Amino acid sequence: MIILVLVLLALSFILFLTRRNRETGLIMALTAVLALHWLTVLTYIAKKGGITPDMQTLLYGINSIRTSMQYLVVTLKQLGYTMAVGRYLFPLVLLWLALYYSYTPGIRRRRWIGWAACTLPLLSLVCYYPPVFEWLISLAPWMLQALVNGTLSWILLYLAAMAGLILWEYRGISMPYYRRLMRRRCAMIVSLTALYALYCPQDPAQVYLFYRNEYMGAVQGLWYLNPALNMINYLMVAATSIVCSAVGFHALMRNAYENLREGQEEIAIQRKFDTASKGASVFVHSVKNQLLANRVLHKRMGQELAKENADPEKLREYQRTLAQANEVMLQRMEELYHSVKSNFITLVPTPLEAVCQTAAERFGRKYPDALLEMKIPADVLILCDKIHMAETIYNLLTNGWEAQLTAGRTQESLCLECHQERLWTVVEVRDKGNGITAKQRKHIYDPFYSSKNTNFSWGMGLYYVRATVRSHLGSLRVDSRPGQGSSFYLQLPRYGSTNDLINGRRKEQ
Amino acid sequence: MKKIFALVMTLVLVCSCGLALADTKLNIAYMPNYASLWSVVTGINQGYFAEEGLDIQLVEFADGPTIIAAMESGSIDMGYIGPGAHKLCINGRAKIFALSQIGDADHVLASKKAGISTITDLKGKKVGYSSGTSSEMILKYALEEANMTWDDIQAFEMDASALVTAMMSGSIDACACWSPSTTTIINASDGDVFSLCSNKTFAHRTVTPASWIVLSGYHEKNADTVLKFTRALYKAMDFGSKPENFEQVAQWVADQCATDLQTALNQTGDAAWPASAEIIAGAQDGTIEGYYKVQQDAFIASGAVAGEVPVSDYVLFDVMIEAGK
Repeated sequence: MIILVLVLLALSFILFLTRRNRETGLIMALTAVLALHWLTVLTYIAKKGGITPDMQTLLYGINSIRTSMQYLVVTLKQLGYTMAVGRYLFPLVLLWLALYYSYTPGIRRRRWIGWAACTLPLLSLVCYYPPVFEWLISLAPWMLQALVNGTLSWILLYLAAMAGLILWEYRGISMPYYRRLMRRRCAMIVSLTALYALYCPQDPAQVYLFYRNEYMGAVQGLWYLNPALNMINYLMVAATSIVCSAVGFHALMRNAYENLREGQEEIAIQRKFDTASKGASVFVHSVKNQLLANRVLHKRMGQELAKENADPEKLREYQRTLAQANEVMLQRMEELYHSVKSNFITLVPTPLEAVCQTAAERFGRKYPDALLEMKIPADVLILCDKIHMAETIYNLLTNGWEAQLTAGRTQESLCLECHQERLWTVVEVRDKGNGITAKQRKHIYDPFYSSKNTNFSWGMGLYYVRATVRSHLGSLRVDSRPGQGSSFYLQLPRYGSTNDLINGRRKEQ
Repeated sequence: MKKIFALVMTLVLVCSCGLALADTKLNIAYMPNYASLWSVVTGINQGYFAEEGLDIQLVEFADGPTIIAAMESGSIDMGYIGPGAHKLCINGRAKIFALSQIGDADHVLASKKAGISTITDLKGKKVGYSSGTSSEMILKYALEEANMTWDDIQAFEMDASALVTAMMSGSIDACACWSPSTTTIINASDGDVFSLCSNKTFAHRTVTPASWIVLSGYHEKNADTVLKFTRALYKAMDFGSKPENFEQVAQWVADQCATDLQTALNQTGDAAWPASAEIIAGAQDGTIEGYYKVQQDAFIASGAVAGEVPVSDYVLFDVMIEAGK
């Protein structure tokens, strides 16, 4: 168990180093206070004894660890108060984490809740400071019982509040992708809480007031020797904790890794000058080929016109081909221009349906035979630059359909769907292509990266999509199932509905 | 149908017999020293408990009060306590069903390097003790002997194990603890640490009995088991009290505590190990009651116990006498 707790602490530390944000900071703080609580409890058990050899092995692994803890020079007051710090800070940090995960507007907007939650833990820490505790219990006979029961009550209250918040939050999530993420986070939190719950009823004052007769009257027995904490229950909690923590930390590490990669990509752009240069060469080469082809056409037209009996049909054919080539070149130029010149955007409240409609029309022109299923509510508003956002969605639609073409699934529909998820409006483009491999995933956002034929694709699509989404204060996520398809999620800040806009305008009038 | 009925009845009978013959499992608390283990390990190794149909599981504890708390938690059935924890029995937390021995295992140790040569020199010094145990008791007697109070020293409340490390590392100047920790500290100090006083020093004020205890609730429900345990314990005491068996008992103690034989042998002088006849006679003629009365008076005088309690309220003399029949 001691190794499990230390491994959890190490994992949370690595997680924090991988991605330093409030969530990972809180998780690290949570495992740190849990480790503190556990280490003090284990030290106390090592010193007091009373456990069977099997239990000893389960708790300490090897006997030398237990002996080291048993002979650790620490006064009972120091040990008891350190235990109190772990015991009272864990529920607080846990509640902060639950508040962080909560997107319920009523809770999220009231930041004072988090600060108010500090009151009881801090008050308990003051009361359990050994000289203060001894003074308090000397004031009235009922004070001891009140402190022991009062602190345990608020701990249970905080744990219940955390469980309520997390469950409420989970219930509010409708998208499977986000539910999955939340489920993994919940698993980790539950496992850490289960580890804490094993010893949270152990009152810390028992460590330094154990021999007081009045204390022994108030707290019968030693919690850690409770028959409920038998080997089977321990093993079950330990096994559950290992599995849940592994799942939770894996999900968080993966998420952190994705975010880290996103951040690194910003820096990597500079480093990818060579790649860009190569891409530019491809582009120049492609245009040059086109221009050479045009020169051939011009030459043929010249030869035809030099003839006495110039064939007007041939000339018209050359002219048509030339015009088509020119259009294609212009279109490509336009796309490239959009991709690289996306610094300036204007965010205005826009109905999402209109944006998606524009994207779908453009997509329809490129792939008239493509099957597209749209599920966009009419009243959803987003704050966006309509042209850029439509172009972004169009890019994703194009990619999705091309993935289906590659997979030969042209009879199945591409799906464009909107979800209102907590504080986000999420636009999902779901295809039934071959999915994205882990290797491809690392490069899909790179400029000039393409898994397709470069004559048709210059690899600027997802680079442009990601840049545009970020400039809209959103983020882009991908969830891919090998052989089954991929889902791209444009996660944009939730703005409101068209009804809100109409009501707002009415009020202004 | 008759065959099936006969088969079922046979199975029921076999199971019932099996259950009836199965040993009663008992979790017995001890402390890792000779005084705590001398009789119980003898009983196990000589098969005295098995003869009574008892299967003994020994569980190690640091001190007596913890053993009582473990009994209250439900993880321990019976246990051994040193002199200090007897105040909890007087205060009604547990009942004594057998006297183990009158000991001389508690000492106040001091470091010469810290400038201590007499009890008076403890003034202003860092002194470690383990509260609620005989460690606290003997330190209190020592301070009173030199007309000092707790305010005259820097008292550090520690557990029994931490006292050893703290004393050996020089974190504290003196400490009150019991054997074999006393021997460990003295041997490791290279002549620096010595004993300022022991239980014998205060023989004029109190006696220091160590006893076997049980919760009254457990005794009410399992009086027969307590009696069987005491009976086996008496047989073990008869074996262990003979000097020619000291080495054998010390070996069993060393095995249980995972120490060397010599460490265990060194502790054979910590007390006079009584045979069962002494205890039975003492219980009948009031000698043992007298020991506990003197001890109680000392607790009352020191303020550890509020008021006088009849000794028979917390000592089960009838068990001591009945087990000898």
